[in-house]
Amino acid sequence: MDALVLGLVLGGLYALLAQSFVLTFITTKTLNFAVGEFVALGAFVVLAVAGWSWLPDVGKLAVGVLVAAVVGAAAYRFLVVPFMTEGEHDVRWLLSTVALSFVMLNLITNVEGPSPQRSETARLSGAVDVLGAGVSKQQLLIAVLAVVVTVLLVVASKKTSAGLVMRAVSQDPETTSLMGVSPRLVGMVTYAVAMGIAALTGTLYAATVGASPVMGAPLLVASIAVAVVGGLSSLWGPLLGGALYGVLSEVTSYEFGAIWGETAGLLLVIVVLVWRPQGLLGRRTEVKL
Amino acid sequence: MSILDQESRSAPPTRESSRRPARWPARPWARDALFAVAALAVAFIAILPGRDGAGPSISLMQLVASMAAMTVAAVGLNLLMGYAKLVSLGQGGFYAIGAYATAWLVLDGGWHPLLAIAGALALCGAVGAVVAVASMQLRGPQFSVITLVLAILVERILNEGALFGRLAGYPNHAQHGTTGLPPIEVLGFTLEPPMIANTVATVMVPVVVVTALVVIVSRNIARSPWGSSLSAIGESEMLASHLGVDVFHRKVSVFVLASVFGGLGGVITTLCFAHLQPETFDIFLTITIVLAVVFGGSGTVLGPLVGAVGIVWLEQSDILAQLGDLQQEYISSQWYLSTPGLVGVLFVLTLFLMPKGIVGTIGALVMGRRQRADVAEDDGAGLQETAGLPATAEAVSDASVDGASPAGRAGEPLLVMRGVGKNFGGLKAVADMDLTVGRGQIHAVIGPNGAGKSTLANLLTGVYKPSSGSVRFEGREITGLAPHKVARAGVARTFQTPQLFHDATVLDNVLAGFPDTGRTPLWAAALKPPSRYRRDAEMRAEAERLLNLVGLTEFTRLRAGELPYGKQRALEIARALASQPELIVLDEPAAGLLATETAGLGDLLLSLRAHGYALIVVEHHMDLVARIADQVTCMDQGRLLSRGTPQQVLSDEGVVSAYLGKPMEEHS
Amino acid sequence: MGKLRSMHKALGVAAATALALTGCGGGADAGGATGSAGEDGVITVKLGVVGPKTGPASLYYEYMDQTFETFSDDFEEKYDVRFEVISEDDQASPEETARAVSRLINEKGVHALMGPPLSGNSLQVADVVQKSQLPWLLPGPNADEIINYDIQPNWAFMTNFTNQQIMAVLGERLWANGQKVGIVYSADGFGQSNLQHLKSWAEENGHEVTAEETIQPGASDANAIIQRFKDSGVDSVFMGITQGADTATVTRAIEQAGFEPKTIMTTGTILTNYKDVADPSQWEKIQIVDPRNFLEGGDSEVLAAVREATGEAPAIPTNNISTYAILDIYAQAVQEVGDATDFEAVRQAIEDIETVHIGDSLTIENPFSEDDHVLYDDDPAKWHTYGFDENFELVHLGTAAECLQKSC
Repeated sequence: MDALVLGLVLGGLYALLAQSFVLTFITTKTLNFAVGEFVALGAFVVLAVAGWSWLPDVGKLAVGVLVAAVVGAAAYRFLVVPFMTEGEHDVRWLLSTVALSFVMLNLITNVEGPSPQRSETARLSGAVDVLGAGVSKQQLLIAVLAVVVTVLLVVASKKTSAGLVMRAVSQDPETTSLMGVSPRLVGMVTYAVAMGIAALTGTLYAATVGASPVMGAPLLVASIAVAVVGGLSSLWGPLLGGALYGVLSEVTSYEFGAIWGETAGLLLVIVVLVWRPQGLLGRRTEVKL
Repeated sequence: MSILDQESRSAPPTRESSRRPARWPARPWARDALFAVAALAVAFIAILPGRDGAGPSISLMQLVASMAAMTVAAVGLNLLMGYAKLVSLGQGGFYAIGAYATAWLVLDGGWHPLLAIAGALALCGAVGAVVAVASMQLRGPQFSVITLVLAILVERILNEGALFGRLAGYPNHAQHGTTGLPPIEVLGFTLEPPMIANTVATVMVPVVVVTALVVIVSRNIARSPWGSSLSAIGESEMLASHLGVDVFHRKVSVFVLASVFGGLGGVITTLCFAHLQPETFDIFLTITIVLAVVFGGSGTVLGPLVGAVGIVWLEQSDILAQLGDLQQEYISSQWYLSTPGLVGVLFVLTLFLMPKGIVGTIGALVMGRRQRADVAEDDGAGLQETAGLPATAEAVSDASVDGASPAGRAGEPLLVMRGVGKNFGGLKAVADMDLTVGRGQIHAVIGPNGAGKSTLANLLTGVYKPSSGSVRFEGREITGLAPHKVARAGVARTFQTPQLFHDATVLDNVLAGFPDTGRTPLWAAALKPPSRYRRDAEMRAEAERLLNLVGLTEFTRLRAGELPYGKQRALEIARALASQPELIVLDEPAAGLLATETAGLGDLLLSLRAHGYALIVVEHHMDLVARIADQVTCMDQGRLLSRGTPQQVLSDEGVVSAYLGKPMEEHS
Repeated sequence: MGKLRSMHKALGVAAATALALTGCGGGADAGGATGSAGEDGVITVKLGVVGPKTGPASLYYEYMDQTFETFSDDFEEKYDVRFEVISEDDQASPEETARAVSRLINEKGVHALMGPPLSGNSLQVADVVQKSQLPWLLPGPNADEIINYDIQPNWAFMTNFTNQQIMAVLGERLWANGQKVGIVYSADGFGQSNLQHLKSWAEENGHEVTAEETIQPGASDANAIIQRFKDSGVDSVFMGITQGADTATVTRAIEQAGFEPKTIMTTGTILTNYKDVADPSQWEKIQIVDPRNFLEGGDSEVLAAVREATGEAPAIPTNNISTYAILDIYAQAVQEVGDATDFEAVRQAIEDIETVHIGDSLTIENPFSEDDHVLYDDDPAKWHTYGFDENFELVHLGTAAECLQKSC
């Protein structure tokens, strides 16, 4: 039971970050391999404004999210758009986003130093009892936020015109652009939202583990795994994927030792992909002749 | 005879052998030999400084070793990622398996070193095969992720597996009494790694030779029909299978090949560094290999080499470190980039300045210039001497190059479909359809949108398995056969939207249509025996003949993507002809054509009939149908509505009302 | 970061302040580093230093840098030995380390090699360095596996404690009163070596390790690990973890799970990167053992001097001290031999060294012998046990031997 609760909570962390991958994939069919550095960017921006005592924590979070969103939109415009022009097999954006990750990691390390720094913003200390399991309040906050963000995104994509445009672009970018909607603008907005989410994750996570340049790296593989398991084309995917991945790895860790936990999660990825390539909630795209 | 326009119709009917000074070297074998010699020469020049084992050369030799290992792994990945467009993040995993398996088999297994290397490579190939089969359905990021998971799992095993010394490395002195793998001995030679001053690093000789061979072999493969099949898979697996490629086997083969090359990179590491630490084989390694391919130019022969050498050099280079220092001095002691960040900046700059990678961009520039030159002087590049040769029996035993021959067997029905049906879930897309096509006949299939015409075409070519009924071709049962088998049986097809290799030349597009694309064995592609040269020459001659037939002679060296839409259709037909089919299925060939182009298309189809080909034309253009069809089948809601001569069917009331009920459209 | 000295800058600064540390690319003929006494009677030694100058592991280079910056003048004054440092970046990667070491030995012609600081990278080059027959100074790594005494003469010298020593000192404490012992170790060379030696010690002394769990660097939680400790009745925990941040993850899980083991022990690695990501309630019960006295005497003098000279906290306090020790040892040996290029004589002089000075007021006598090239020994009476106050200041609780008796 403890493992179940803690697994769900852990899955929430991965799910929140996985949402960054899913969002950019839905609209642009690209993944930003620098997401880990946006996690760190958010955390350090918030750390930088932590001294502004007139600003409530929510405001500080917003600053971090905004900065990451702007950088994310710019990254899409200048480092992704130029390198996805050659059709669906064009993967040069992979090189450019990895390059961005190198640059950001290096710059953050040079500026802030490699050691983790304490972050007090949006920090909840202590644990609460959830169904008999001791859960850190901070982790619980992140998990709850993963659900809230997902619901917001789903509602926004269904009910708002921006969401409709976003879904239209994901279905058929060419036709949509004929209709006067710029897929590039939609892509920028999506990247902004996605990197904002990464920064939000980073800030809340930094309150636990400290802000450090490499803080995003350990989350990266798990989040991509979660996104793929849930289905890269589904906004609900991360929650389902996160829950499965988190619970499976935590239960395995409890039963067989921590070393097997992550391995079990990775095996889950293999099983799901072999069985259902598009992920559990993903839509299969038909090959058109 | 052209489907296109007056101008091209007036093009000379046969190609003139206007010999002009050919570019040096003209003959393919001479070019290949030159490349091989150059590759080996570069390899030996690279290790020249280490010939006396002088101290200062040691680290240079280590650098060359790292570059060689990275090159071999990147070359393998390029086959997978550059041609078949499967972006694997698992190459580092195979690299690690190759490295550890070699060391383990030598030291713990007591195998002969050569045997151990062979065993390690075989293991890589076997793991590669399993992964390939498991990931067969995957493309895009899903494929990347599953391969990434593999690389992570391998790293985990090396980190935690007591057998491999975990993080104490392999070998380690607790288990083996030494931290260095003893130099291996092969044929009486001791292969010393570059480690100690005044010991000549003899291992470098086989290492660079093998690296050069890998580059040569991969070049052969890339430029062979086998390589074309990879490009076809990269473009579209469906297209590849219609070109007669057994996609499943070919994908497994290329993955295995890439895995073996990845493993070979690891073998080089083991031989040259004599000690393995799991930290070497982290995710960063696998990403670096991918970056090397993209950086150098994915899908080019030399790209992986240039990329690997460039990246390995950059990462250890003093220049970047000094650049970082300058920034610190003149800009800020905090806001500066050191080596890893500068490498990132350099990647981005390369992408901006050389959008197709270093080699890809330079190659495109060269090709562009050559193309302009070609168009200007009607390039003939030494192909004429082979033109007109009959095909050798071994390569095309079952098909005739002479386009006129199918007519010789006219009379018996070529294709017989009986009671064919297809259900999608509860929906009956096609029900109980019969269709008979004789040799030298044009059979048009018409019907409103959603009538099941395309489904019928797909049932015939093997895209779908019929739920019921049978399909016989040339008296053989082909019901439910996979597309590549149907294609090999003699059924070619074209698609609603032309499926071409847009970056390849017009000529190369036709070449991909030959049966060789699906049938050339890997060894023949890799080693390029003399018969391959003969066959290449025949294919070129035949391809040029076909291009002439469809009126594309003057565009031979143009990129297919630069052709106007109508000419792309003509090209697709030429490619279909290259497979020496008995029957060609054309899915809406007139869609999107101008009226003059449609007329030209009619001319072409009629001339094909005259050559004895049987054609099934799925079409909406009634004028065209009325002009060319011997027989017309009209379908509605998956069933036969009417059949007969064009006049009969087009005047059929049922047909007219079916079309009136559902207004005709240009394009479905 | 911005603290690492770079080549050009360093050369400039070195000229002005007679600092020793230069960057890479110095070239074999730089300066008057002949290895024997110049006109001023000072022997200039070309010392190759390899470590992760860039990247996330750069702290492991920085401690060497700080120590040079602080003490090179002192050594020159004391022993008439001047260090001309030629440094190479190993980027924390084994393959890069191999090349860096090759360059230093074969191209730059260094007289001795210091580093690499990470165990795994040291293992990668152990064979090469031994065969190259250069004095190999290892202030950083803790893995006993790096030195293979079958190789004689042996060229490697370590001045950090080793994992075997930790277990010898701690074993009895961990298993005191029949406690059940669990180890959580980081999934890296240091952690695995800890596990290895804990298990060997237990086996030799008739104990068994009740639970062993590994934590991945950067893991987001350690809940399962702690739960498994609880479930198997562990009441004595040893943390063999490289990064303080990962140690914090474990102690956070301990608190969160309400787990209350009687003993929680770890090593000096907790002094780096732990405090900023943990709360006082989590470090209340933690104790560390270390052969150094951080609070008084020579060890603390070294740390204080580093703080004063660099204006920064010692990057890795334990290793700042061990760097000081190895430089003292090497400088003495060079002075005694009079020629740094007589490698075998220098090596022998190191092996035979009588008195190692750490700071002004600490000496260690006759630390080395033919098959003992590590500075410290495993006598619990010479090791110190520390706890932490609420500000994470070290509190000296007694020697390891004392703590075993009165269970601190």
